[in-house]
Amino acid sequence: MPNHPIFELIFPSTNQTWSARVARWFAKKNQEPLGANRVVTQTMQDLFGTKDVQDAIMASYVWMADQIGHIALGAIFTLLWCWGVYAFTSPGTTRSVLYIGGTLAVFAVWFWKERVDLRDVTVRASGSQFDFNISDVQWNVHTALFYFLLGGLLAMTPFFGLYAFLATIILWVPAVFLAYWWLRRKIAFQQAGLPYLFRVANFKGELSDAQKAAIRHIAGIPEKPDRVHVHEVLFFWLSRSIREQIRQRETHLLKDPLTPQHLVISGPLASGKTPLATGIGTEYAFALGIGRYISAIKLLELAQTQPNNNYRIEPEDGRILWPWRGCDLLIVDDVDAAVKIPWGNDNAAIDGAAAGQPQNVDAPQAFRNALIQILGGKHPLDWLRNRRSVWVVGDPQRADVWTAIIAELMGIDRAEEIMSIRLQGILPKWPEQVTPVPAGEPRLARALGKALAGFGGLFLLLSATWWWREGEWGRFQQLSPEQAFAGGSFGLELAPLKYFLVMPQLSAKPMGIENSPDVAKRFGFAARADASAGKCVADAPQNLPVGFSVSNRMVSTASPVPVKFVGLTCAACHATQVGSLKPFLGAATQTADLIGFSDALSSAILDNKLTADAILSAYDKQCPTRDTPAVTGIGPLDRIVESYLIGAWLDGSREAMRKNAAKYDMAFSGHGLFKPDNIPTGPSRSRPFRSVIRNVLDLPGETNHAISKMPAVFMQAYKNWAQYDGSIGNPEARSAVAIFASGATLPAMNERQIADNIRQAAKFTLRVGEDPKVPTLAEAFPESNPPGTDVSKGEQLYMQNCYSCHGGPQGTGWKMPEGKDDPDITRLDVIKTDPARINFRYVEMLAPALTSLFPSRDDSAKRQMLEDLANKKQEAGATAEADFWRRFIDSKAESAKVNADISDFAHRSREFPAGHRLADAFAIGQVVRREGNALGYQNIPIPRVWLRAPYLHNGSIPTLRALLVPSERPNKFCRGNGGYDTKAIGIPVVLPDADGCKAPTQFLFDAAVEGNSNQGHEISIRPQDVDDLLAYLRTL
Amino acid sequence: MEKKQEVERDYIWPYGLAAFLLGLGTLAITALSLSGPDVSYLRSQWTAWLALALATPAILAYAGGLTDGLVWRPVWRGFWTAGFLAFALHFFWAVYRTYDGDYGAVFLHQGTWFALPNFIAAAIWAVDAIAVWLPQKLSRPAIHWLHGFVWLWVTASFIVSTILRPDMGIMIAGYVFTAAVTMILLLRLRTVFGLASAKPPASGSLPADTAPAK
Repeated sequence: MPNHPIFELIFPSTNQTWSARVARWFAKKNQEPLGANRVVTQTMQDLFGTKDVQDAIMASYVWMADQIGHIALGAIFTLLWCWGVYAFTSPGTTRSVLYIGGTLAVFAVWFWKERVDLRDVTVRASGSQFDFNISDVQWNVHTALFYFLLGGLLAMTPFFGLYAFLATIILWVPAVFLAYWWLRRKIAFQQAGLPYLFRVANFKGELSDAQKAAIRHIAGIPEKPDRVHVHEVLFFWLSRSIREQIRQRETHLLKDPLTPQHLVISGPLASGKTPLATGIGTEYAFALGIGRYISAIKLLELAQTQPNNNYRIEPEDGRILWPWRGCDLLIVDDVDAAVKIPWGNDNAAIDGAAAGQPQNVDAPQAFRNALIQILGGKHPLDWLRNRRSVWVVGDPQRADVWTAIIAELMGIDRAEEIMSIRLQGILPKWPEQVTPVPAGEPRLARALGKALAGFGGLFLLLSATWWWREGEWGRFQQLSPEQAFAGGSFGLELAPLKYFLVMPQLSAKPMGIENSPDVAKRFGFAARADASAGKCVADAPQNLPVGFSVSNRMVSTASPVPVKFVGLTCAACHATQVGSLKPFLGAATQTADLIGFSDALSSAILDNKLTADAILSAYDKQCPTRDTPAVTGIGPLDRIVESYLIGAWLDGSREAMRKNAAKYDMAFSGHGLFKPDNIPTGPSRSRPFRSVIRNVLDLPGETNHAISKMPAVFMQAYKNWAQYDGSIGNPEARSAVAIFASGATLPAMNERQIADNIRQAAKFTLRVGEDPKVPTLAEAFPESNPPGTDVSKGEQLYMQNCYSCHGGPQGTGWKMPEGKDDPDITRLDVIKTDPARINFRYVEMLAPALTSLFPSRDDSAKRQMLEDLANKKQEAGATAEADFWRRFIDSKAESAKVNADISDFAHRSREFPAGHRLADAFAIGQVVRREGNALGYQNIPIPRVWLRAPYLHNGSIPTLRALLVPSERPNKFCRGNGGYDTKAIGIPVVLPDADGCKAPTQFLFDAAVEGNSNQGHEISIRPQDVDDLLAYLRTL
Repeated sequence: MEKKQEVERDYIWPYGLAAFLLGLGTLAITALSLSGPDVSYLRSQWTAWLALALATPAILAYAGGLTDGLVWRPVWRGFWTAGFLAFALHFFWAVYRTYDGDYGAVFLHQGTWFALPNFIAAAIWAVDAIAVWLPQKLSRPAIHWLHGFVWLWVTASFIVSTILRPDMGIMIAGYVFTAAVTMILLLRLRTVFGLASAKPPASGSLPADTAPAK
């Protein structure tokens, strides 16, 4: 081992710095010069308390920053890739493959880059006197690649879960050992005080073999370039034998008596003297030798100020350097630089100069005399004798003299132990700088090209950002059946949430709500339990009526957007509130005027004073937090996007209304909304087939008088067919048709979230009433059947008069009569209720049209069905209908007319080529005209009959009493005030006065209007039995 | 000492133009599709148009043998790559949105003879879009053959996809495209076979070297 004492650490002069205090934790007295404590101390100093603008930068600091940069570069691009994969793909094998493939691809880029660097370094080092140690550089490359890979794995593994990420901790073990290996060399280098890093392989000067051998020996360069042994790097701490191997390799710096240990390098200007000397110092440091580089003047200064320092590390100008007398290799540069040094007054004159005067020490003798004077003795540098030294002499003419003087100072045999190397000539110059000048392209065109590329990249980035955010806004959320029914999105978005919240302020007149600004109450929607909810976005949906949901989906397309929109859910029509009881999901609404509300909203939208700015200004006044949705994170930009989207909704809605005015007619507005002459449906009723005929068949629907009340949907599992005419077999199909008739589009209903919500809502209807339980009237209002009420007589009457059609309760569920579980259809001539619901024009065309509305993956069967129908009509002479079906199949319309609502079957198949998500519910045979039964209405189970008011399919009979006693059926009554008559079981009968109906019960129901007949469904029951039967009906 | 040396460096503006048109087209499709009735369907349609529009200059340049030189090489490379990227977008929107990732449905709806060539076009165009960027010194005969094969396949795919569509507008665009490619090919053939510079012999006499021996 080199013969030097263990060094004592000197601490910075101040103990006030954090890094100094930390250094003390690790620093030990008499520590190994390049041991673990030294490495940790230097690392702490570099990581904490050092700023590169204020402090000298260490090679160890640069190395750590370099590797952290490698980790970051490996991580950043991998992270960006994995984010993109996460946003645009669904969980599954593809996603995992893309994660791993992308990570490897990023790594491959860095691998290629490092290969290029290696090749360039090799090229630069070619033609040298010394063998280029490519394994050294390869090890550098491998280290960089390891940290690149570490960064990539740190970025990728979280996408596979926490445990995968934690597994990467194991890689920090080799990372730390690698760092230790490199930092030892960096510390050895930076503490040598070399002016720069130079490898002897880059030296291009001419040298003899003997000179090269001497240089190799002094610099500690082995004959054959040595490889880095990975197992030594990673496992030295485990095995003593490995540590011994390392020690033996590091002790190759022993003195070899046959090879000179000292060099004097001389030569003319630019012959490479300093680079060669620096290269020797660099190689020695990388071999973990303790070397020191100083100038001759510095040597004299140290001789004066620290003559005996062989153990204390020297701090100098923020650097930490090996002690000059404690190092194994001393490099002295510019020995003969002409410099005057001040001389002490008590020093004798040298070379004839007067005492006390500055002296030149550029002459060999003067230099010798100065050292003898300072250090004393005949050979003041004899301690250097058995070590190594390199002396750089500028004047080759006096190289021999300097060599002799230096040998004398060390007390060595000049011939044997010190070699003089005289470098020849001028080092090869740098290649002539060539400035490439592109041939031909004007500078302006070049600049324009770059600008265009920049804009193009920006546009692509904006697009990619938007698509990625769409994935967030439209992220799938599995809802429970009840959540979907009450709060899911069904593609029935109406208007932006902010507009909804300020609607009474902006649109009171067109909506006819000047006197009652509560929109929900005015149009009969049930209020939520929390009536105190605030009027801002954050309070939604609690500040919306029951049956209104909030989503990030655009009206009509259901495309994900950052702006929140309000939409209808099943509960808007299929929930009701009785008195102060909480709303019952599944019940028929008794008050909601959906058609009136729809026209009111249309009128409001067509108000030219309604603008995006007006909406946002009104909202900002109401809610100073503004609640602008975050798109870019830049407030003003996000506001612009929000305003643009609200404007797009307004423009799109207006354009659609104007285009459809010829088919749908102009919307009513203001107080005209509540006139039965204008809108004959009124509260709790609709004209669904008018919508279906318009939107499916693209035929006029205004003459359709099929008015239906909103039905209750309790316990749908107890019947196989739905609809008043029993025409739809699949509950999902029934829900889908209802949603389509309410205004949803096929593309919207094909969105995964919406299709799933429809399925879940349909599932909810199978058991609602039973689970979740809905109370009977007697349970909800116990006073309606006072204690002691005997319902057995009523039950008997029920079994005699009602059970054979409607079935009866069984346990918590329902049971239809034996053999009648379809249920049966009661012919019109028997039931004698209003026929408009089942005998309107085009009713027979609806089944095939609805069946083929949702394209399947393989549409051949449905196409054949339609073609057969067209042929059948043709043969029957119904040529108009035959022509209709041929165009329905394929109108050969231009595909530019993308309007899936009323596009032809062929186009719908092209638009949904993988099959619409709801197509399975519309298999052939699920939507039928139940042939074999004459025109009639389906007998339905009637659990929770009290919540099905008003009664009959058209809601023409207000109470069950009136149903049972035809003479009590009012031909005219006022609707719309809510309330409940528990005695008569149904909605309160308010008769109009001479002026008609007054607020709040504004709607006048008139049984004489087409579709409103209240005749039929008469049973034989004695007047005195009615109360008994009613008492029993209160328990259903 | 510095000296200026003229070096051959590709013109930048064709690359910039191709990138700009790709970015602008993509942004326009993203924004305008939001106001349509079916966003995914519109994006899958319009990105196909964008791919055709961007690839056309490269297809015509290749047909005309103009793939070298400081201007034409960047035109060919830039627009070929931009066209491929737009096609990749079309592939995503069509297969993973309109077809919902159901590859079987693609074959079922389009038929094997239509779907398979399109999938092959996507794969080989991806390879060629990388190969066009290889430096000259890595150029091999195999690379040239690849360029030619991919050009032919992609051009044929575009032609078949457009002229066989029932939509009149698309069909006309397809015919115009086909006519342009055909014309350029013919012009190139004319140049290659030197037909443009051939002069007819003077009437009544044969060229001297074909004069019959006496």
